[in-house]
Amino acid sequence: MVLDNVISPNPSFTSVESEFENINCPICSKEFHDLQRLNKHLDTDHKLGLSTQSSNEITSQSRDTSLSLQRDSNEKAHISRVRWKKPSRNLKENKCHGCKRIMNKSTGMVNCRSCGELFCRIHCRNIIKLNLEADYDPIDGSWYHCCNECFKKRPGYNDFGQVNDLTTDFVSVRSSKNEDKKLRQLQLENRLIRLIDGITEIYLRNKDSIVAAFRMNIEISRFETTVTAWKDDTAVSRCNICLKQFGLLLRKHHCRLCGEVICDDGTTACSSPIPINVLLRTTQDLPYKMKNIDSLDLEHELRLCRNCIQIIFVGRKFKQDLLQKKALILEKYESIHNLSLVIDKLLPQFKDILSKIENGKDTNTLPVESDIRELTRLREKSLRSLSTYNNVSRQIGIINPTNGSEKRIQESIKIASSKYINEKMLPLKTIPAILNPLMNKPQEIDLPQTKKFSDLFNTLSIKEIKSLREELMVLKEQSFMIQTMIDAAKTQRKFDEVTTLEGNLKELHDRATEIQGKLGSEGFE
Amino acid sequence: MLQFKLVLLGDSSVGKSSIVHRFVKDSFDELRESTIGAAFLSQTIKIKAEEQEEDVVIKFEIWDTAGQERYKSLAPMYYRNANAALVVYDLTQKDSLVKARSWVEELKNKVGDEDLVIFLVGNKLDLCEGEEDLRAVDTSEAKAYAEEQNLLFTEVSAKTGQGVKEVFRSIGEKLYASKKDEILAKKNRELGNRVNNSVDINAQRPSTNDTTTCCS
Ligand SMILES: Nc1nc2c(ncn2[C@@H]2O[C@H](COP(=O)(O)OP(=O)(O)OP(=O)(O)O)[C@@H](O)[C@H]2O)c(=O)[nH]1
Ligand SMILES: [Mg+2]
Ligand SMILES: [Zn+2]
Ligand SMILES: [Zn+2]
Ligand SMILES: [Zn+2]
Ligand SMILES: [Zn+2]
Ligand SMILES: [Zn+2]
Repeated sequence: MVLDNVISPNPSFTSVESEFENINCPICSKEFHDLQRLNKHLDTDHKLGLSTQSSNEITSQSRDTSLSLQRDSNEKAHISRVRWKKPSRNLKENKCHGCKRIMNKSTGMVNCRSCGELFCRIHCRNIIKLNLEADYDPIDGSWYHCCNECFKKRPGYNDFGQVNDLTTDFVSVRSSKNEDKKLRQLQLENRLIRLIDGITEIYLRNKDSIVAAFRMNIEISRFETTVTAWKDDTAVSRCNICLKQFGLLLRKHHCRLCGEVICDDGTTACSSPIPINVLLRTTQDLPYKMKNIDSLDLEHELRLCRNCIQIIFVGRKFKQDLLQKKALILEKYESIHNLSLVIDKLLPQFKDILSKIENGKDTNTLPVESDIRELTRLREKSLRSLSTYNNVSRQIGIINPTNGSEKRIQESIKIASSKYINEKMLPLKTIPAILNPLMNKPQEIDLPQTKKFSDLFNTLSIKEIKSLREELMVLKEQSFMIQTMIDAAKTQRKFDEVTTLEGNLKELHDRATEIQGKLGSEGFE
Repeated sequence: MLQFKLVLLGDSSVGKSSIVHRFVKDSFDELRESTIGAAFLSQTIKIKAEEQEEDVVIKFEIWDTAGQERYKSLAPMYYRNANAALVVYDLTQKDSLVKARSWVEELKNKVGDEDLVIFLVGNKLDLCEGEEDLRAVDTSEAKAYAEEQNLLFTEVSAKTGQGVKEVFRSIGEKLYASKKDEILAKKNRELGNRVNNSVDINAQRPSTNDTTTCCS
């Protein structure tokens, strides 16, 4: 027999299998062109070979001292390497101790400074404090890289750090603060009631006498100070809120509720005069003597500081907002929430019947037709609800949020609803496979609208989708490589090989199209 | 020239690519990268045939598949039309023989072709010599299995080249033997056609699964 390269080999076809690149020392990352040199470097420069070379101890010892001297001159003391594993000569055996993949230049190769095993770069990324004996030493150690296992097995480690439950402390601090606030609010509210009641009373007493108007105003002012002690303003030179210096242009005022001295600067809104009827209307819940003074023609205003307005009115405004018409997003959210209640009720019923039928399969009992009908009905109903849920949650997604918090709410709804749909679809998706033989007899079992819904929700299971996607990706990779091989073969004028490769490329394309068809909308964009 | 399709199957890093490269380029590379997808190479050999005075030229179109699990779905595309399959295992890795067995099974189940030549090859024979013998699979065990399944069997080393050429030669000879009648018949038909000057439609129509080409 004669064996020879009648046709010379095609160097271009090796492009797929590129040569191994240089390899780095796992200890100091120095680059080497071959393993021999790397091993020699490990033996000599890193002393890893010494234990096995005990036969010539004298030489190695002398070499050792010279080396350590040299090292001491440019580095500090070294962490112990007795545990460090040496990489194998066969590079394919150098698998990461963590992920087990074969390490090469791109993955990197590092000794865990703690246990010494070899890891790829990404699996040796934790840092831990070690002493020079490579033992865990949180006090005197320095930081070194280590693997996950060493990181986790160090004493005192837990997944979530130190637990220190301060809830009760927080609660007590918070509730005492809240209590203070509440008390303060009650106090101010009481003052407000007394002020308004008193003022209306004075007004009612004087409204008929025309000459009394002047006296009435003095009386009201005096009355106001009896409800709240006004702070002595002679000693105060700055506004209590904005701290601006009072002067000719910035007048001093007293808050009728707290008695503080504040300014009336419109830009800082430290205080505002508020008509009594407005105050009354916005605090309808308080027990005033006169519920309605609109008819009284009482135009008196009370000057309140910003802090007091805040305390008395913010909570009330919030409550009132709640009574207003809901934002569109919330309205829609309520409807998907209701749908989810329906679905959550349907699915367990559905699962019950399903397991009944499946158990029947084990014992070879044919499912009762009424069960199948019920199963189908429940499935249809759940799918319909899910489909509506899906539509409404999509509508939420396209609403223009009116402010930042609406935007955040919208985002959260989007995430939660898509998670909900995926989760609830799963059991419904696996059904056709189980019921298929039964469903092949459409004249016996009436399946309205099955087609429509299977369009909406692909009938593949998540697992099938995953593996088909993976296969598709592999096919695309391979198509790309075959295409490069075809180009190379063409330039080399190897036309019979072009034919073979093109045949394969077509097969790859056909299979890819087939899978894409199966995946439908679950495929790649 | 005869043209045969050959596919290599087996676990990752058993040395499939190394064997192909030894055969095609007579070289070996310690630091070969794991194959991605499937690589394509071709090589031509000559074998002596009994009844013919000229050597028979055989061209192998070789698909070297990747052993990594990720690419498993590609394999059927390449073994489906193959005339021969090299199922490779690593003599130093017990698991790789298990994998090889499952490939053999898959081939027997999925490939209809009765004439498909399956060659079980134990690789890295060089590691099974001397003091540091790393052998993990006994020759007798693999051999018994091959006989039971009616497979060709041998042990090779892609590193030293030991036994590699012979594998491809035996495959060529076996395929030639099984296709010989077909080939001779066709040749005769062509001759006959020329003599009778009549047209045989069957002989003229190019068949899709034809392993013989007339234009060599
Ligand atoms: N000692 C020795 N090593 C070998 C031999 N054949 C292959 N190897 C080594 O084994 C490793 C894997 O070889 P490959 O040829 O890449 O293996 P493969 O089967 O193609 O692997 P995949 O492409 O991942 O499927 C390489 O490091 C080779 O150097 C052999 O006969 N003897
Ligand atoms: Mg390979
Ligand atoms: Zn180094
Ligand atoms: Zn890793
Ligand atoms: Zn470690
Ligand atoms: Zn105030
Ligand atoms: Zn102010």
